[in-house]
Amino acid sequence: MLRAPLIVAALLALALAPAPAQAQDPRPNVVVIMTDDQTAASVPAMPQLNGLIAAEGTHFEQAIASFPLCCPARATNLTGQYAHNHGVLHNAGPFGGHDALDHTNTLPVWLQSAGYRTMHVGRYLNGYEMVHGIPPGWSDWHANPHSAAFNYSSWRVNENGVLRSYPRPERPDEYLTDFHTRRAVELIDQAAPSPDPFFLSLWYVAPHRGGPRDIDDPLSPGTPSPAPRHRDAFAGYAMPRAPNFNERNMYDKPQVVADRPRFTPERIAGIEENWRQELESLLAVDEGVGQIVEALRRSGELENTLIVYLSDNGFMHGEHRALAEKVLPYEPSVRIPLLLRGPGVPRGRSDGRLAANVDVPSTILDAADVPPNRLLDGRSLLQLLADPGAEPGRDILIENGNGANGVPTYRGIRTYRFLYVEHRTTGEYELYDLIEDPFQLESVDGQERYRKVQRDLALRLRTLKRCAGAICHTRPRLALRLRSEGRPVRGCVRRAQGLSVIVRGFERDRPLSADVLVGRRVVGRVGFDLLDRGRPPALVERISPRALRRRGPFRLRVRAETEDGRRYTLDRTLRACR
Amino acid sequence: MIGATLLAAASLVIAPVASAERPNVIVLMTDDQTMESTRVMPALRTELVEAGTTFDRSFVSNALCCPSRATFLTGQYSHNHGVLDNDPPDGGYFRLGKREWLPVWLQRAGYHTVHVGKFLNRYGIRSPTEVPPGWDEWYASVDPSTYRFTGYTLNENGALNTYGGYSTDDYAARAVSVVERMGETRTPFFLSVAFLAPHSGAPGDPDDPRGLATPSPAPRHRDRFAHARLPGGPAIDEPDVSDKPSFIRSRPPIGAERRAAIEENYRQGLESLLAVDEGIAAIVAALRTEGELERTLIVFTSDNGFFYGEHRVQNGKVLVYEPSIRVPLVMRGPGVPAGARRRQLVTNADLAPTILDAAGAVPGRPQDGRSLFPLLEDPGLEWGRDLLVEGAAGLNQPAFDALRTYRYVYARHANGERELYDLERDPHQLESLHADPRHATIQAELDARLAALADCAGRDCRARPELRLVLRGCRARVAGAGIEHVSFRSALRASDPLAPFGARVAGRRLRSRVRTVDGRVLTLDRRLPLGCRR
Repeated sequence: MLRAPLIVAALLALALAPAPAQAQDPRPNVVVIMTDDQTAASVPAMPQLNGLIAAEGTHFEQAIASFPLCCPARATNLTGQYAHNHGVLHNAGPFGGHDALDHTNTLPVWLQSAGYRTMHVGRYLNGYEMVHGIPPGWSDWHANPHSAAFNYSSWRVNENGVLRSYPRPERPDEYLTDFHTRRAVELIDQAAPSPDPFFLSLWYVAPHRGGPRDIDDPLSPGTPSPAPRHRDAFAGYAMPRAPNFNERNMYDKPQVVADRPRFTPERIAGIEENWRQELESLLAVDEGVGQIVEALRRSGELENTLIVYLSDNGFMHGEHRALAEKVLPYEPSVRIPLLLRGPGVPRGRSDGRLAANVDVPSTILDAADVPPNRLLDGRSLLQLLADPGAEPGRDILIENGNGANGVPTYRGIRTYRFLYVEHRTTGEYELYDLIEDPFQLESVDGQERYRKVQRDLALRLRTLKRCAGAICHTRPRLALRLRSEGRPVRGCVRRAQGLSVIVRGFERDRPLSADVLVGRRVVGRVGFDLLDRGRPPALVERISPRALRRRGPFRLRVRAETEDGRRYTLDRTLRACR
Repeated sequence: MIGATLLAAASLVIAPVASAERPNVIVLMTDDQTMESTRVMPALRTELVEAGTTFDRSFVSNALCCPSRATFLTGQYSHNHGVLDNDPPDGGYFRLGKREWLPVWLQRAGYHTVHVGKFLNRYGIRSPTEVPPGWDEWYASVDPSTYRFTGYTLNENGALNTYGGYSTDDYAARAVSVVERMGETRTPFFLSVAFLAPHSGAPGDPDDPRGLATPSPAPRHRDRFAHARLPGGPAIDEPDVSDKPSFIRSRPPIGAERRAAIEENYRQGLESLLAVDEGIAAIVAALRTEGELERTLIVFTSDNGFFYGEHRVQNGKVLVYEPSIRVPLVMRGPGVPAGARRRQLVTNADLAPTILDAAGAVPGRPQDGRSLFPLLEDPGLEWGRDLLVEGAAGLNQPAFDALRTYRYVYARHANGERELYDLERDPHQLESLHADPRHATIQAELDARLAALADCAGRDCRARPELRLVLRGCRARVAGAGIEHVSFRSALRASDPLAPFGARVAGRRLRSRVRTVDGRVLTLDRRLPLGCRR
C-alpha cells in the first residue's frame, strides 16, 4: 500500500533536486543519529522516524548492542570493534571512559583522510572534557563536555575549540535536543554545497536521564526532561508490561539480580513516569530526524546520503526487577533501534535478521568505500541488505567489562534462538531458549535437553570473547550435497527424477532444521526438536520433480538453522539437464 | 546453577594435604603493617618464622582495608568481589555478597568458624547487632568504635558490649579462649583474628605528632622505640618526582618537620605491634598446651602496607608503590616447612584457596588466586603468572590497575597517566620509564596483559606465558616467544649455541626454568624417557 506514494515521492525528490554544480563525488554522505538509552520498543512512538527512515529504508528489528553501556558501545561505534579490542570496558577507570580509547585510529580519522568532511554534534565519550581538546579526525567539532551534557535546559559546547554556554540570550528557551538538531542542520547546510562528501555524527543526549527536575518527576528513578512543548504528551498512557516485568520468580537468575526486592507501587509509578518522559523526550529527537531529512532534501543530498539511526544501548523499565538501567544481558537492555536509509538500502522493509552496533562502522566504510585501519569485528549490513533472504550464520558477543555499573563482569553469546551468559565472577550461567521463552523468564542452563547446546555455546564463547576480525563472524561449517537417482548432482538436474537435499554439519554446527527454496518459494522443509534423540546426523529432504520445473538456470537455496540457533544459507545454481 | 566448570576448577585447587586430619586454621591479620616492622616482633620470629615458612614477595591486590579483606574472604580480586573501596557506593561491608564466602565454605566442610576483632569497613554502622552468615562465633568490633584502642564496642554474637581495656590484648585473650574451648572438642576450627594495630586509632597520646594520626601503643609499651629511626632509603622524600603522575608531582617535599612527625608515627606503629606479638605468643602457647599446635595452620599477614614518607607520601597506602602493596606473610603448620623462605610472587587472593586446600573445603566462587601448598612443597616451582594490583580512587588520585611481575611494575591510571618501573635496575621506583621509547615494546606487552588481567576471573587470572617444553630423545628445548634465559636441571651440557634454549639432558625428571624478557619466571616439568636415565 505504501509503495506507490513512495515512488512518487522519490521521483519528485529527484525532479526537485538542484542540478549538481560541479563534478560530484559519487561517494555518499553519511549521517549517524544516535540516541542514548533508547529502547528498541520505543520506535513506534516516533512518527517521523517511521515515515522518513523506516518507510523509506530498512528497520532492523533484531539489533543488538554488544556491550550495553554508553562508553563501550560508543567506542564500538567509533571503531567497528568489540570492546575487548577497542579497550573501553567501562564508563570510567583505567580501562574505561574517554581516555581508554586510541583516538588517533577511529572512523572519523579514516573518513577524513579519505576526503570526507567529518562533523560531530552532541555528547561524546564519557569523561570527555574541554581539556581533551578536539579529538583527531574531526573537521567540525560541536561536542558537549561530559560534565555539561546532561541538563536539557543548560549545557556547554566545545565549538571547534571554543567553549560556549547555552542557551544563548537570543534563544533563551532553547532545548538541548533542539540545539543539537539546529547545529546539525547548520552543518549540513554548510557542507552540502562542497563536492566533497560529509560524515555527520549526531549524538543526542535524549532520552537519557538528566536535569532539570520536572514537577512530575518521581523520587526514583531519574528521568529525562522532555521539551516543554512535549510535556505530558504521553500522560495517561499505560506502559506495556511484559510478563518479565517485576518478575515474580527469580530463582533461575544470577545473584546480581536475584537478590533484588519486588517493586512497591511507588516504584512502579516511578518506572512508568520515567517511561513516559523518555518517550516525550524522544519527540524532539523525532522532530530532529524530520529536520535533518528536510535539510538533506533541501540541499539535494538526500538521495546520496546514508542515514543510520540507532541507540547506544537499550534500557530496562522494571523487567527482571531492574529499575532503570542497562548493562545486564537481557533483551530490553541489549536490543537497540537500528534503522537505515539511503543508497543500497531497500525501502520500506522490516528486516528480522540479527544485526549489531558493531556492524555500523563496517557498513559506513563499505558505503564510503574507505578502508579501516583496525581489524573490524562487524560486517557491512549493505551486503546483507543486497540479498534479503541470505543468512550469514551470525552469532553476536555480548560483553560487560570489569564490573561496569555494579554488574560483575560477564560474557554472553546471542544467536537467533539462544542467549547464553557466563557470569565469570560468581560461576553462574544463564541460557534462554528465546523461541520457547522470549521474555527470559526461566534459564534452562544445566538442563539435560540443552546440555549439548550449552556446551557448544560455551565453546564458541571461548573463541568469541577474544575474537578479532573475521574470527568474530565465522560461519557454521555446513555442507550441502545434492543427489539425484543416487548420484551426486553436478550443475544440472534431470527434471523427471527430483532431488535429495542433504545438509550436514558436525559438532556445534549440526543442523536442526532446513528450508529448501527454489527462487523465493519454499519447496521443502525438514526439522527436528532439540529433544529428539533419534534425529539423524544429516538432514535429508526430497524435492519433488514438480518443484524444479523452471525455465533456464535457477537458484536452489537451503536455509539451515544449527542446533545452537544460528541461521545460514547455502546456495546452488542449477539448470535442467539437456 | 554453579556448573560443572566451577566444580572442575574447584577440584583442581584442592590437592591432598599432608595430614589426613583436617587442620585448624588461624589467620592473624594486622592493619597497615609493613614488611620491615616485623623485625620488632620476637614471638613472630621464634614461633612462626623459624617454625614455618616466610613469603618474601607477598603482595595485596588492593592496598586498602576493605577491598583487601574482602579478597581474603573470597579468594577473588576486587573487580570480582565488587568491593573496590572502603565506603559506598563501591565499597564497604554492605557491598560484599555474603552468601558465598570463606566462612560459609569452611562451615560446610564442618569447621567451627570464629571471628575476633576488626571486620570489613562500615560493619555495624547500619545494624550493629547483625551477625553475617557463616560465623559460629562472632566478636567483631562495630564501626566507628573499631578505631579506638580502648573504649571499642564488640558485637558478641549479637549482643553489644563496650570495653575499656586495650583491644589488642582483648582480641588475643579471646583467641586464646577459643583455642582452649575448641581444643577439648574434636571439631576443627577456623579462627580469624584481626588486630587494629598498627593502624591509627584513639586515644591520643602525649607525644602524638601534629597533623598525623597515629596508633596508641599499649601503656606498657609506650616509648619502647622512642629512639628508633626511620629505616630511610632513597625513596623517602623523593627529591625528583618529575617522572611520577600528576598527583605525586603536586605533592610538596616533606621537609624536616614533617619527617619528624612521620618518624613518631613509625615509632608508635612499632610499639603498638609489641602487644600483637605478645598475642601471637599467647595464642601459640595455648595451641601447644592444648596439643593442637601441630595440627593448626597459622597464617600471619597484614591487609596492606604503609607509607612512611616514600615518594613524598607521608602516610596511608592505596598507591601502587612497593611500601603500600607489599605485606608480611608467614605460615606455620602441617605441610609447611620449618625455617624456610619462598621467593615466588604471591597475592592475598591466594589466602582463601590455600586455606580451602588445607581444610579440604570447596569454594563457591571461582578463585582468582591459587593454593600456596605446591610452592611450600616445591621451592623451585614457578607458575609464571602476573599479579594484579587494583587501586581505588582517592580524594586527589584516580583509580588504577597495575601489573606486578618479578621485574616490572606497570600501572595504568584512570586519568590516562602511566607508570613503569624496572625493579631490577630501580628497586626503589625512583624513575618511571613509561615515556622512555626503549621501553615502548615492553610497555605495550604489559598493557595488553594488564587489560586481560583487569577483567579476569578464575583461571584467566592465573594465565602463564605460552611456552612449551619440547623433548626429542634426550634433547630438550623450550619453545615460544619472548624467552630470555632457560636453565635445565640435570643438563649434561650447557645450551647449544646452535639451538638456543635447548640442551642434552639426563635423569628421571626434567625441570626447565624459563625467564621471559618481561621478567616472568616459569618452570616446565617433564618425565624423561627411560633411555635418558643414566
